[in-house]
Amino acid sequence: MKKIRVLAAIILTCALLAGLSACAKESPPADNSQTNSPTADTPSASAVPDTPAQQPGDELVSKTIGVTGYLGTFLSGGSPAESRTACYAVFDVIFTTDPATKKISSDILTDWYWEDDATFVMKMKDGIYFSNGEKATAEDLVYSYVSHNARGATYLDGMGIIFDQCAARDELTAVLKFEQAYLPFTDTEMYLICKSWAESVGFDSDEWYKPVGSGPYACSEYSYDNYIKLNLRDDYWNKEVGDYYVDEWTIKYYPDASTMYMDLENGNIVFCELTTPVYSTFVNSKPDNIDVSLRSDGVTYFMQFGYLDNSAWYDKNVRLAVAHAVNWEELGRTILGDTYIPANSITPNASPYYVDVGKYEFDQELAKEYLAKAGYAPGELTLQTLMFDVQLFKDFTEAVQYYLSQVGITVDAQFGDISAVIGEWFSPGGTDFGPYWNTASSPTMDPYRSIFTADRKEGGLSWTFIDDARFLELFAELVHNTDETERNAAYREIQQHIYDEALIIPFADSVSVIGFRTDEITKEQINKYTLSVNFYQLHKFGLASAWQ
Amino acid sequence: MLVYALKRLLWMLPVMLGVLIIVFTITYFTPGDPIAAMLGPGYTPERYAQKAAELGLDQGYFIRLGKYIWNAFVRFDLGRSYLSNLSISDEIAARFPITLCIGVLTIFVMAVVGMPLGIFSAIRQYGAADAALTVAALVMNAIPAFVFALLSLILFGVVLRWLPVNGLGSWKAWILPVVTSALPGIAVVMRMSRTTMLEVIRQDYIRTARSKGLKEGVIIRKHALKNCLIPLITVTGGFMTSVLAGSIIVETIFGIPGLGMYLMGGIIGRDYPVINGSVLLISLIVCILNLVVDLLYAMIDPRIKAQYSAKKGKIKKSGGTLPPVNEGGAA
Repeated sequence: MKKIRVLAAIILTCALLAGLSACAKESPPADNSQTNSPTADTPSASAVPDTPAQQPGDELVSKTIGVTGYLGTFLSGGSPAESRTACYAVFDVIFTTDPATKKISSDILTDWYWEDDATFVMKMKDGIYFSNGEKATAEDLVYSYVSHNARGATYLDGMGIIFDQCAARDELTAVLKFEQAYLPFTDTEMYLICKSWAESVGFDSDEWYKPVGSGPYACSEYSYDNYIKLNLRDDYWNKEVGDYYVDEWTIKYYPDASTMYMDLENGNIVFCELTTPVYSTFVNSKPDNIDVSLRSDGVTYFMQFGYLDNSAWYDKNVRLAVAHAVNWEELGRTILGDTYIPANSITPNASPYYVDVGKYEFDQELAKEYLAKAGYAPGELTLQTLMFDVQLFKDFTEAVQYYLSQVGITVDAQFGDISAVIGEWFSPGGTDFGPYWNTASSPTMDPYRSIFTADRKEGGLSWTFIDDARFLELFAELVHNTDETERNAAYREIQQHIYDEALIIPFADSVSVIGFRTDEITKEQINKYTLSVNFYQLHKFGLASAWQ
Repeated sequence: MLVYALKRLLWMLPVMLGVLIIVFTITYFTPGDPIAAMLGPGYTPERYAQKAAELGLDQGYFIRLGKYIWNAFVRFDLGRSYLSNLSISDEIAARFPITLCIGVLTIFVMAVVGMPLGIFSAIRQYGAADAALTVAALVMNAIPAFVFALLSLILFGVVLRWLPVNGLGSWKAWILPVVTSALPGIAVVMRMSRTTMLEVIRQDYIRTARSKGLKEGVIIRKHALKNCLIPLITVTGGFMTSVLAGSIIVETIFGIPGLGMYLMGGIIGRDYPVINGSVLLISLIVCILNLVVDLLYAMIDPRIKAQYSAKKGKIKKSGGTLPPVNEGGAA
């Protein structure tokens, strides 16, 4: 009996150890120790191999980066949102933005132009091949757009694309038809999808976790809520871009931003986003071997007035009263901490389109005068709002509530989670104001992107619509006018008009803070190939030249 | 004994059905809109209706409940995640072993550390060691596991850099999640062992054993320990359910891709099939654990085994009566 017990104990122990080792195999390598990466503060050219990666005898170069919030998928526009970082490595993106010039560029197109006010033409490079060996044609390019609805995406909604009239003109020329020209559509990340493969697997297939793409990397492992592993393809079509240095990228998911920062400190990841609280930790501790790149996302935070929700906003005096009642600098510092950068316009200071339109002084006596002009005695105006119960929305709402109470405006604020709140936001009533910004950022820093939903009276959030005739005219110029000179004039005027009429109140730049290991990479390299915190161009980071 | 176990297993079916109905009903009536959460800002009413039809969310409560029960109980299909579109059964199958390993290790650490310390505390009652262990148990019990988790992350993961802070890349990565999960349990087991042992060592049969000249170690190991085990098994079995429930926090803090993190993601994203599937599995495990605990009682205590047998009529046949359960039969 005793022997049986001992034997059972041994078997159980073995089973447990086997289970542990099996579970451990589920996780990716937790560090970058497999690399032969440069070790000095500034990576030296000598550390970069002279020959292309994956040559016989080469040591595998593996790098890990961290992401938080969600890991993302490869299905563009699906739910949850795709990992832009992983998609950029696995697919060829149709239009991208050069982080240095802020101009639209493309790795797969030789030319693109508006043929007329409703026809957009794209000419592809010859010799693009997918990872399944198929040659990419204009059919694939058109399919990448027209499959938008089929894959449940919303990115192109409201752009006026007439999907059933989009077609390939010849093997390498694709034509998209619009109701009228829509300039900003090139800002939207769309990936070149292999039509025959997508049609054969369907958009509901698990195959989308290891998709066929024409990019330099292929997904070798996808572990939901855990990591994505991308390996360099030795048959990548675009040899002209140079030698690849990073053979394997791991995108590691962290449920918590603080833990991700700890792994950055420990050297297990090369770079990652720093959230505002984590950035404050960095500012206070300044650890060795870690630096940050803090840059504008190209959009601003602003206070949005819900014109359709409360008719009081149609009176300019009420808007000006609010504009002067709130100390926007204090509010910005309160909710954004060390990442606060003041904004006076809907475009950030760093934007080439920025116009210094002025700012609203914090003057509560003036605010009371405007309120009196609007016909409201202290205590007569009550605003309601329903906001997300996440920190930034709560802090903003409570700060505004406090300042407005000082000039006699009552704010009745309620909070709920995203799924409870968002359904309410589609019909007018209940959300008179709130903070708003484009979380997708604006790589081109185009003013349109900050206020991208402001012209949607229907089909958008009721409280983000700006009901002002001149504004809507100018907005139409921004998005539909193909004449660059006229559009630039509209860029300037719309910024001034928003300020003069106090249509919305911009109060801070949205910024990305990327923390990185200085013993792995330099700030210049980070700035060269990152567009925002969830938008790392891993395919370019993988180039040997990127590490020189 | 076997019949008893089979009966208990059959009883699990209505229990699981009840759990499923309750969880489904709660998630159905919880405020919030999974489609809105999935589509995010900018969707059109048409897109909303399309998604609702695609996911079957445009159907009524009873139809959805009926379909879910049919698929879960007959086809063993828990559906697909609204968010990832991956099979929930496959995801759970991949993640549950991780959570189970952490749970089993936690219980192991709890028992191996807590019991000897509790017994030691009891046999040195009112001594310095007893006082120190009592204070330590109070501290471990008073501080929530997540506080321990965060503090240990900073200390061992960042300051000392002995252990990894995230994932399960190596055996070292298991240490912090297991130890932080086990600490409150160690305190409970320690206190329970101490109390039970104090009660047992005052029994007559222990006094008899001492008067026979047996060594103290032998008395504790051979006569007292077995009689301490039943309350400890109850506590330990019960704690396993707490460990499963606590896996949500522990796995989220340590970035462990187990069932807890999956459930957490489902709750945040209003991914109802994920919530239902995960809760259903946890309920099943709790039912099984309760059964295992009951069977363990019988293995350890012959009086309880006799009770189970009595239900089959064996005692009645022999005309015997059950011995009193509260007596120290082991001596």
